Amino acid sequence: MSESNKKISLISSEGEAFEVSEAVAREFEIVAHMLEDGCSGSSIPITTVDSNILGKVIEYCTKHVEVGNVEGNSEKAEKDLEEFDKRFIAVEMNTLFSLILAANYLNVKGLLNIGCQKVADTIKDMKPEEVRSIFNIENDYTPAEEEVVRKENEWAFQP
Amino acid sequence: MDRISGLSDELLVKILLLVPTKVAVSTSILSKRWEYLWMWLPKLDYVSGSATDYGHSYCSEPESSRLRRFLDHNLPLHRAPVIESFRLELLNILPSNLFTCKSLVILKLAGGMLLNVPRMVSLPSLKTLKLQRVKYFKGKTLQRLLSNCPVLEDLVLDLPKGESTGKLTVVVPSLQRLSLDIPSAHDIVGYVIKTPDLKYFKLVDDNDKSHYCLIEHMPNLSEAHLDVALPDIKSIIGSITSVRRLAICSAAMFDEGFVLNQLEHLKVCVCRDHSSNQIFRLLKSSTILQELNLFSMEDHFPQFMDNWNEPSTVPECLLSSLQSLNWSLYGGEPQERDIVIYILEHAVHLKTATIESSEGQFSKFEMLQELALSSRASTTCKLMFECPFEL
Repeated sequence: MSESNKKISLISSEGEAFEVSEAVAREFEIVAHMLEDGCSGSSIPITTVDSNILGKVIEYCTKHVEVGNVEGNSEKAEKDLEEFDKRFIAVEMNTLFSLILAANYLNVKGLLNIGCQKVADTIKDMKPEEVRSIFNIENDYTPAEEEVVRKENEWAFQP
Repeated sequence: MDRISGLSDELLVKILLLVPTKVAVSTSILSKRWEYLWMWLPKLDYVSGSATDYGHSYCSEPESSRLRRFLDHNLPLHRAPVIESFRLELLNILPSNLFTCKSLVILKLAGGMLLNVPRMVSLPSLKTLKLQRVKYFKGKTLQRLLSNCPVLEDLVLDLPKGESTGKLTVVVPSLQRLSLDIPSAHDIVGYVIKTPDLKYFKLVDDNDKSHYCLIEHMPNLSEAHLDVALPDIKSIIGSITSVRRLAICSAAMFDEGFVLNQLEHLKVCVCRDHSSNQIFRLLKSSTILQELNLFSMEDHFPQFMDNWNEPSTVPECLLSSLQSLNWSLYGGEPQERDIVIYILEHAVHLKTATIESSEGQFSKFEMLQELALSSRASTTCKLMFECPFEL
């Protein structure tokens, strides 16, 4: 299709423009819906996502579009993509949460899934105290309140 | 900066769904915001202990009672509008409020627990119920449970070995799929099944001690899997006459004269000494059969079959509809060979005959030659011979 060469500019919260192919932009489901609704403008503002994160989300989508376009999608390509995902999501916590928020807002399902999985894998083998410290969660229970919760859910705190 | 707090509850629940339920519950201690987040989980998996060779898990006594106290307290407070799935393994006594859970859709219970169904039962959303090796049914326990599941579609009952059940009653008008497994080491007086809307029926009844079996006609049944040691097969066959697919292994011979006039795909297990003659009883009954598979069910082994009596008239399906014959674990015994040759000689519309040989005393090459040289009623029939070793 002639549409496939069309370029679209995505504008970050700082006003920086990222030029991408329509196929990549369509990986953002929110953009795909805009295009289907007849929004034909060639630049789309993404006001809630900053340049750093938007760049990363575009990198993710570009890779997935590239692999999706290869003829006869082989097992090797799938493995490579898995490797790519693993490396891509190995980022420090603040970036990880920003990526999850952006993927959720832009509706990039694959990225949202690997982001949530990364957080889940991090939580899985940790004690609650460790989870609090790594995610910087402020404990707003009083010691007495905490004791009540611990008692009610006693089963979950035993090895 | 506490960035995880920037995520919506919905996203946090999505993350909690990816960790074991126990870990999800333990996040309640993190902060007030997290206290009830796990209660929005649509899937709950209460599995304790470690997996063993049998795939069960063992739960220590104190662990069991902790879990029980936990469920008693928390299950009524659960917030998710729909619980898609609830799994609980090995707990001696079930929490009674489990049986009045309005949002429960799938319930799977496994292990040697006692099913103590309370007097008040109401599971208005339950669609799938799986009870494996659960001890229960003193009196009418099971039926009390079933009759309070008005939309139940899928039921699996695997009775435990070394226990007794008395009378088993399954009366569920909404049921679509039923799988019932009665092991030989299980004492049962008999069972009654009334499931008029059933589409799929699997019955494994290995119990050769005398017991009754009353199954009401199932006019919409399209697929059945029967593995039965019952001396009386009549009552079963009479209720499954609408099947299109049937896999069967029966200790009893069928009577002549029954009709399976919708049956298109038939699998017959060849582990009985009467299998040779049984095959032809079934062919005679199945007037529009397209596919015949001779095979061995799991944990059944091919037997040396009785001498085979060539039928006096050719079964109708051989003349009009049979297109495919498949024999797995073909041993090349004379009775087996005669059956294949008879079908090749009479099946006018046969397209493929696939024979997979087992390791037996006969030479593969001779087996192949015997079959290849026999005459075929269908000129377009392809004979395929597969064997695990060199010819």
